[in-house]
Amino acid sequence: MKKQLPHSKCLIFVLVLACCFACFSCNQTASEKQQLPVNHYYAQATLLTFPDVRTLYTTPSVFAAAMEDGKMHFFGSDSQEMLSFESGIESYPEKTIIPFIAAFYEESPVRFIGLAEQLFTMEADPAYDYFLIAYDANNAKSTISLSTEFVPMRKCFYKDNIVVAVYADRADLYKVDFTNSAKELLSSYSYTGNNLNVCISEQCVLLTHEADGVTAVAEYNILENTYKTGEIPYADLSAVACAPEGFDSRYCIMTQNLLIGLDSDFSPVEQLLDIKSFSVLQNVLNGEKITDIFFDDTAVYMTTSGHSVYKFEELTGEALQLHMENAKPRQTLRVLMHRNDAYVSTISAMYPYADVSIEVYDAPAADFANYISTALLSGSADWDVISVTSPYLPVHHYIDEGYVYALDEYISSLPAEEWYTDIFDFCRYNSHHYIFPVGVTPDVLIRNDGAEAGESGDFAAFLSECSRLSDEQKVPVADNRFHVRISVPLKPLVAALENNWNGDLDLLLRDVFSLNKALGDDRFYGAKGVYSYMLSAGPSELNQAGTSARTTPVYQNQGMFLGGSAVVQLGFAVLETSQEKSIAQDYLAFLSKTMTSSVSPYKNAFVYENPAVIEQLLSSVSGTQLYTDELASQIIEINSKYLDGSLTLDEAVQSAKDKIWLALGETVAKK
Amino acid sequence: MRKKNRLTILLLLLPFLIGLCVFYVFPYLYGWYMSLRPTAWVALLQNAVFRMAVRNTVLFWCVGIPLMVLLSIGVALLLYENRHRHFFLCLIAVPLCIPGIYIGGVVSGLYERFSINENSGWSFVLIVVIYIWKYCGFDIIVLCSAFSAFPREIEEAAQIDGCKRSRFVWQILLPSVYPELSFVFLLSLLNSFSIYRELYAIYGMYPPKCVYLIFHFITNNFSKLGFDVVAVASCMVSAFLLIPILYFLRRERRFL
Repeated sequence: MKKQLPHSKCLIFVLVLACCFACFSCNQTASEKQQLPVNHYYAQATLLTFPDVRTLYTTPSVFAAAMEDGKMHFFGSDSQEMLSFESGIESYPEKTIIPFIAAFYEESPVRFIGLAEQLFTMEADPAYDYFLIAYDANNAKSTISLSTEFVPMRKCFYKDNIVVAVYADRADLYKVDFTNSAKELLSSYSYTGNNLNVCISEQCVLLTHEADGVTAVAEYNILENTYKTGEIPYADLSAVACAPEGFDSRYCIMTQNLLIGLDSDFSPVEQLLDIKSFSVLQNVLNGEKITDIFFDDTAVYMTTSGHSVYKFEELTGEALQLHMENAKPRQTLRVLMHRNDAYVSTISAMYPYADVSIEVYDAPAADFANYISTALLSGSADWDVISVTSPYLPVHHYIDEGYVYALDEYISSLPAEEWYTDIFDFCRYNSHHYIFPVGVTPDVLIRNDGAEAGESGDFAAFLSECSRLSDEQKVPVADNRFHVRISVPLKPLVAALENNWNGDLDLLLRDVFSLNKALGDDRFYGAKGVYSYMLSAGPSELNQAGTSARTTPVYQNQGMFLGGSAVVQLGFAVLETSQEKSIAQDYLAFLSKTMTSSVSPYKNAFVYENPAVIEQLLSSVSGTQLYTDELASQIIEINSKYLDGSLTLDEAVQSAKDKIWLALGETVAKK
Repeated sequence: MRKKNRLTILLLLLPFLIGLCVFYVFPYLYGWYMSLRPTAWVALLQNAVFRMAVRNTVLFWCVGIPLMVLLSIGVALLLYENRHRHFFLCLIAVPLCIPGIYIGGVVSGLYERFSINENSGWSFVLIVVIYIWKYCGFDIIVLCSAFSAFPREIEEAAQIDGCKRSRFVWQILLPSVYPELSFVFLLSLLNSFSIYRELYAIYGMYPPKCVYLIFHFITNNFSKLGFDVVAVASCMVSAFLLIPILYFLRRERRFL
């Protein structure tokens, strides 16, 4: 029978062994530290590992990476936050976003800079367009077209507005100005051999490349526009950097194993670091080639061919902890939109702070409504944001059932001077903000001369006025930015009908359809700068819809804008189940600012002929309608049939009345 | 041995029974559970659109189903002794294979081509015609096979006894195929639910008032997330359907 040790004895034996091992380890580490020379560096940590990286760029505070997916990411070493950008430039004809192939970061002023590359065909040969795209701290974008080449760029270096673009046989040195989107070619350096490395200092650019077993060196003086050349007896040079302050050398070069200082005559002055002598460093580097080095006052950063960034701190005599930190995973925003709204997807790709994953529902609007309803009910709706301006979508039911997140806090935090807050206010439902209006079309005013002269109620005169105007001006309405729109005063209508109001609905619909036909008829032309608007009247004024319509040439008489209404052509909602509500709201604000017809005053000027008029309109909005109301969709459908002649006016009115009755009546009040 | 056979049958049926319970029985019972609020029933019954939908649906059943059953009987009587009946039966079954969306497209085109007003009473006639045209094929096939299986000797004996054709049909043939007739009736009733597809393809969510059926009410309320309303309305419909089903089952037992 096998003899067994008692458990307690086993345990004591293991503990004693562990204690001995710990003491031995501590003593050994302490003695090693004391033996290290002072000006050597010691491996402290592996900060980041980037999978799928094309290029890495290192500064003490930010690590910039251009990824294989074409985006560039910036990781703040202190904040531990990741910022990401896409170029936002659409390639032609592929209609894909041009990818970034290199990323740089500038600290003062803060700039996130990317080099974007577009491959295209020029004279039957492949060619490459290169752009530098910079985002500043306010996310303002600046684009500089760098060059067009038949051979791809090998490397690109950037520092302090100096760009060095390295090709197969030359390196172009540019000075760029992101503020004015300008560039200046300083010099073009021709070289032979391989492995061209660049170091940019305040006044000079050092270029090194291998040739015949030695390394050729050239220093370009930016101010004097002169070159100084030399040669150093080291091959296999992998990186060059400006030496840190306090060193005798001017540059540091990295060979496979050695970090060496160079003086201004390119002579080696000292051996800074023998990396091979550090067993810890060897373990960390695992034989990777160092491709880039960067110094600051206390540390040296090294980027390796394996797309890792190592930070080496000067020995301080204290125990240094080896640890590894990973970048936070980038947030993904899932957006569902109908195919009619899919044009937003290009703009979404420009959103810098999250990956926007867009699901485009490619089916009729009625099916889209069923798709969302079913997903919400079954709990499978995993979107963060949905578009809510598709016809038939029962948005208010979604809100009532608690599927939609209230945006009150976020909207109230938006600076009033940057947004037309009136529009937000009039988009409220149950006193809360649920819908973020992204695209808004303001209705505009038609002045009825007859009404001005006190001949109210003369609808025929008004139509006559429209016709006269069109004959005089001969400018098709459809070519104007603003289409003539007749608004069905939907909200008051619904409210009135729900309160058993049964006034002159017939007359209202008659006026709406007649006017629409008159304005849509071929013989009618809206004058350039003349817009139409039908006042959204309350229940007591519903029957006066025709008489309250007015016409006015808005450019000539802007003072006529006493108030208006707007239609939310494109709106989004954040779902209550979203895990990324904060970023989702920020994304919607970004969309709104970037889109034309936005509720934000910015970036609209290029769309409209007279931004001042639009601003005046938007800032004086007194009512907003959600375009997608089921009832409105039905009325619009009938209106179309009336316009194309398949229904008479009486039939259209009757049909509209029936559908209004059905749409409103089939909702059973909850008791 | 017999017990073992039963067990085998039960095991073979088990996947089907599980599916039935999960996808039909449980939702159906849950629907009843959701509808257990008297106020919801009262609110629904007070709703004018719902009442109109029920009225239209009942009218549609009252007109469409008898017409279809009678037409099926007539055509089956013409065909069951015909040598080329298989060819005709195939022809009659073709509408069953045509997707509702095509029918909707054709009818919408006709509306536009002839400028027919949707709100006229023709809409109701139209959906009855579409219903009969599309679904009577199946009824005819069932009845034709039932008539064909009727013993020829009895028919000959009736002829020898001087029984007229009409009398033979009404007093001998039809009563003897009563189980198949009741099956055809129930089939027609169930097929009437499928007409919603064609209606939706023609008119969308909101058809003219005269053809707004209970299916529209249920579907539209579902899309508006009015699930309690949908539950109550569905329970009402199912309760109503149980009446003819139980009646026919009971009557059928007498003939078996």
